[in-house]
Amino acid sequence: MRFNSSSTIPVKSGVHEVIRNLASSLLTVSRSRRTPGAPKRQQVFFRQRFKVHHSNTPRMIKPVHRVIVFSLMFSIVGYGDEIDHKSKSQAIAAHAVVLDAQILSGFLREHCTRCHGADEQNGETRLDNLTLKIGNSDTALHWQEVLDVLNLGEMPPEDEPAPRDDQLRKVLAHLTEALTESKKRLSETGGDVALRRINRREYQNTIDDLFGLRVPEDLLPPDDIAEGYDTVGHDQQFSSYHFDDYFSAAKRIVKVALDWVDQPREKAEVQKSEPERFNAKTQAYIDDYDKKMARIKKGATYKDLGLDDEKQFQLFIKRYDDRAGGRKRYLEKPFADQGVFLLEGRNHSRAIHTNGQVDPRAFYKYRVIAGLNGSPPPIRQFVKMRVGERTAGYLKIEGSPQSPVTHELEFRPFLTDGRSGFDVTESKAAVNIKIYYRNLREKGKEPESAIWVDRMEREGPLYNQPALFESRYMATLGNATPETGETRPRQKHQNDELAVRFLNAFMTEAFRHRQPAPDFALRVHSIYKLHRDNGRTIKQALETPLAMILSSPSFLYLMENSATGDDRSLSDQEFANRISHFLWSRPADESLREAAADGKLSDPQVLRAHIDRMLQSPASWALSEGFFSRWADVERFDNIAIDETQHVMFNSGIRESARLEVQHFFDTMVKENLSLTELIDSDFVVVNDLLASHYGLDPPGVGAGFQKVPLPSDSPRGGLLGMTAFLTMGSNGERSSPIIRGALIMEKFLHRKPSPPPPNVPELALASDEPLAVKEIIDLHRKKAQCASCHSSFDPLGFGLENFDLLGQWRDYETVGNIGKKSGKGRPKQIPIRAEGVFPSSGHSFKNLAEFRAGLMQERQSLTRSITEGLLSYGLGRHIEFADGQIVDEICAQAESADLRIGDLVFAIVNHPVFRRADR
Amino acid sequence: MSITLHNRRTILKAGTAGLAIPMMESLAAANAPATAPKRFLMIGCGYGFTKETFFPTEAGRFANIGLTPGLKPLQRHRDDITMVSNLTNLGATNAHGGSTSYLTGANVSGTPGKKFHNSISLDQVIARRIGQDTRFPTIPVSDKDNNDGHGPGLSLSWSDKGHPIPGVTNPLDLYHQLFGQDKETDAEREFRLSERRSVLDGMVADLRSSSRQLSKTDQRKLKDYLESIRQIEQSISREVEWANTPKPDAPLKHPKDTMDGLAALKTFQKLIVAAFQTDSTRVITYRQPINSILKSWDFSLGAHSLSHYNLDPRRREASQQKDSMFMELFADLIDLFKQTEDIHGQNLFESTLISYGTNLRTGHGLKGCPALYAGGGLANLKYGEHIVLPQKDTPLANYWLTLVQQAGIPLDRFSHSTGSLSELVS
Repeated sequence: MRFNSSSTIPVKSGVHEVIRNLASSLLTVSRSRRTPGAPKRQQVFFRQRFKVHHSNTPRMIKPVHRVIVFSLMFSIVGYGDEIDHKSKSQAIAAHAVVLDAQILSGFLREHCTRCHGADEQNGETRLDNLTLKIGNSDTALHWQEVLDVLNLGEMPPEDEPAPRDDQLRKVLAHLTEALTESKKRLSETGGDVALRRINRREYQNTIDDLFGLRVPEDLLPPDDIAEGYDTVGHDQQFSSYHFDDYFSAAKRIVKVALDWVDQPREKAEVQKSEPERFNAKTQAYIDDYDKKMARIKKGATYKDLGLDDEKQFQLFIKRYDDRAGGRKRYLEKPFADQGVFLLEGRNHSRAIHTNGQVDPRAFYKYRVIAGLNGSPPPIRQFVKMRVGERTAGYLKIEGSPQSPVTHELEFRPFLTDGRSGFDVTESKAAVNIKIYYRNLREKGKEPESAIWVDRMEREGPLYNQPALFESRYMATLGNATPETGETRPRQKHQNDELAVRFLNAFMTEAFRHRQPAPDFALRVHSIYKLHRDNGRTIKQALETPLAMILSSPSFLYLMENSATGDDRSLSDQEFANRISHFLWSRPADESLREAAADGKLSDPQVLRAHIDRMLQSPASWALSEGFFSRWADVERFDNIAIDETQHVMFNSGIRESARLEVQHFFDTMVKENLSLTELIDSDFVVVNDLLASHYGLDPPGVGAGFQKVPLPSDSPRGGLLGMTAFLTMGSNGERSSPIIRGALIMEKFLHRKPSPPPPNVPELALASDEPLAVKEIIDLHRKKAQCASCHSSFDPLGFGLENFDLLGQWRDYETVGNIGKKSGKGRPKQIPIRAEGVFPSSGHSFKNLAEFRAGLMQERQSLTRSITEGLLSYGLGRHIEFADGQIVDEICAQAESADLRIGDLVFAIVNHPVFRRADR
Repeated sequence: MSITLHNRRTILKAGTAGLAIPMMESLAAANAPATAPKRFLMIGCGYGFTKETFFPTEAGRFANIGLTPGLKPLQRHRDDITMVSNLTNLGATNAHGGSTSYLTGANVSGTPGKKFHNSISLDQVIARRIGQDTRFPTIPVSDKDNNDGHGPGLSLSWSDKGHPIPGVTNPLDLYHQLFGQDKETDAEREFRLSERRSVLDGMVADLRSSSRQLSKTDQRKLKDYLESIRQIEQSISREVEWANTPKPDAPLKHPKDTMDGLAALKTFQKLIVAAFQTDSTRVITYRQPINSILKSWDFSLGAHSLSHYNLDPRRREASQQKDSMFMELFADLIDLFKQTEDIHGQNLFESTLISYGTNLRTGHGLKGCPALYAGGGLANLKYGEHIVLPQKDTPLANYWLTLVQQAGIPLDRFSHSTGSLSELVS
């Protein structure tokens, strides 16, 4: 409702009423006359909360951290004083956010309530009696309306005195922050770990454990769209589309698994491909062209040559030198007869591959024997290796045509891959090679190949241990009598008994050692029999039953029994599975299961030993993949499009490596039990050759793999702050964005998530046609109170990283203006970078990157809390709520006493009673 | 104010007879369902438009006020389109998501006890009333890219539980869905469907026995799963019902398997028309991509950067260009509708109500969202005008309600609607 509106429509049927209904979330097309629906719904919700707090949460003590985090701008009402003198339905206000009367009252009195007060209610709006306690959505929406009109500058109206800028800014900041916080509080659920479906990563890992097969992500329905981690079940949904997708994915997996289950394991072979074999084709092309040209000389017309018209005929003659001549010159090059020069846009040197059926149970080694052609710039020394449609990796090429070198990487095919060749191309920006060259400042030269490939090889299949599926199958159906048309019914019957045994054994594994329901097992068997009675083979008849197992609730959901008794603990087996899904994103392995079965996991020492073992294992990569990349918001990096025609130093190889760097860095921290402060600064990076070259470091020589590399003491790299992925996601794809970087740092390192970009705030518009430096653009934000209210806290943080450009490369100057414009307005200027800013909470200023890092180090307890809450949320599979404050405090305290080492933090989480708590 | 105006016009039109009946009823009576099928196409375009050059400021017939530069490509359809100003999707708060609640009107992020909430979308509501006569009650068409200003979701469509409904994202898939003939024999189909029923029975068995050991909240959670099984059972029944009706012959060629963004959009436009033309469905939603189209047009900026066009004059120019090019595509779509007749020999444009818009006006602004409609041949709906509603932030749900009612579908309210908009009706 507009405050200045002189509408004749009464408020009751107006916007506020609508919003109230909306908040109740009950209105769809319901024709129900039960009005108002809202209170009823809310009561249910509030009762739940009430119960939870009453039964298991100790009386809240205001956690010190929290108060700092919300910068004392609004007070927090503990639940104790509520329940004593308020009715039950109001107990919901337990964690209401209370607006600060000191900030608001004066402002409202001065600017609002003369027209919207007790005497006058312009626009049917009254603000003097609006409650300051935001305990429900109605109040939140009321205040949101107030914030909106202030943000839009609609109020106070023009003929009234305007509020002072600093005053307005304070009010806006306060309202924005309070409303964001209240929204969070209102969405809380009371700390229950909701039943959850396994996510894509867990599904893939579980199938890997069971079948030894690699499932491509896109075979599975996408994980849900909720906030937070992909382990949080509360907001997950399941619809018929999910079932269909899971069932058809399962069918696909099962079919491949059954096809291969009794195939003999083949001996590894090396297949070789000599790319110069394509030269024959090239020669044939030249010969054909030459022949036609000879006929033309003798008077042949376009008709004789099978061309459409005279125009094409002329073109054919004109193109002789480019087409046939180019190929001739290529073939005359030294080494062209022994290999191939990689060159884009020339057919005779592009496709080199070897084809072959792949065994989905195995992995393969792909090799390229190659050398550099002369000494190309470092960025041109990499190849991209593709297997089928997938990128297998990026390799730095060593050697020369005279002495080529073997480069190798391993690749495990996906179960859907089937036949797939592999090929090698130069790793470069997606831009025409001439432009690419020009932008690399080697103007005028004919684009030349940087890499010469002598030979390509594939070695395999190479096998790991047979998977569960295979061993269970061989133990039962491996003994089946081969069936022909003449097989006697008795033998068939015996075979079927083996099949049922196999299905039962598999079911137990698939259900993470929970006993399958007898009813379900019966139906699985009966479908098998149905198919057998229809004349299908054993394998054919097994398909649907197995797919059923993999689409059933017992497989797709992590079932935990409800709590019985007073201690509210999970069973040992469930505890083991919770730990394993936390650290490995897969079911507990035998060793952990056995410890659980023996009741040993309650012994902290045994538990610690298992945690350490699991963190050391390659499987803990899942923690980096599932937890850390999400914590660091790497998805934002994926969503930033970089124009590679403008930025030729960027390419898909750098993108992929930069994305992986984030995970590899955290993985190294996990494996070496390092301190969380390494995220702020570290004396090493974890990179592959390509990224090392991007950072101007010496390539570690590990090909596509990543390795820990010590940094020179004067290097600006180190920690998350120096990583390309982090720096690029702090950009708009064209230039660095201190705004986004500042907001990211505030959220991740200072654990104060800025409010999301508000709707209905006027856009900034530039008053000048003159290009501005980034700093000047950002300073515009401070001129308007509507922007400054939030931006003044985090924008200055972003400047700490200004020495890193859009691609994360170091710079001392920023270029402002239109590149290519030689003179006049808008011509490029070099402006020195000033990495200066100030920390919002302490007010400490910094003058360069080192001081900025030192400042973050000072506030490392915020980073600890940020990671702790993240890990706890990820591990428990629920959001961390206000009432969890004390638990988080306790865990943080333990981590601090262990120098913030990640392994100790993980142990503190798993060893905390909250991690064993079952729902009722 | 507006109510008086409307009454006066009603009186002028209907003469004294109209006076005896209260206004809303008189409208309903005038729009009793026609015999010809009614069809609906709702297009959501993600980010909004360049506010300086897209939105008309003056109310009136386009023939008199002219079209803004952004709307200019619709010149040839000037008398057949209407733009409505002062609408706002109340409750929408996502400054980067114009589609999540576009057809639902739900309060997505402000619902107590939930991080995310949505409710049934308009197309599903309509399909419940008119979807029983066609092979597909509705067809949601969507894009693959989630970075187009649409916000969370898989298409514009949401189930009655507020779950996202995935849309078809590949033209070839839609082609197969509409016109692909299956090679199954009756016996094979019977076996497949009965097997499927047994599979579902097995799932229910597992669910029943597992859920006994779970906590109450978890048991509630599993109801989702049970519900999905029920829906599949229903869809099996529907498949049986339609099993003996052959699919129509395709009125267009088999599309290519892969194509770029623009080609895919153009093919989808043709397929949408073909779906209506063959009466395969009567309700389609289309969550239209932006980024992939911009890529086809060689824009170097993405949809999000373009939505912040005021930072740079070059960006603004690009943003304006984007607006026009999308309106050209929309104009082409209207052409297709006008050129096509359905299986009853009725003009498709005259029988299809097409709406185009999003929650986002421009940049991050959610107030005054763009709303265009065309087609449907509805006697009382105004065409060829820019209508400025007297009340700012009139609920978008009122707009939906009005369109649906005018198309002869009995609906008293939708989402957060407070009533229908008399301003749209003549």
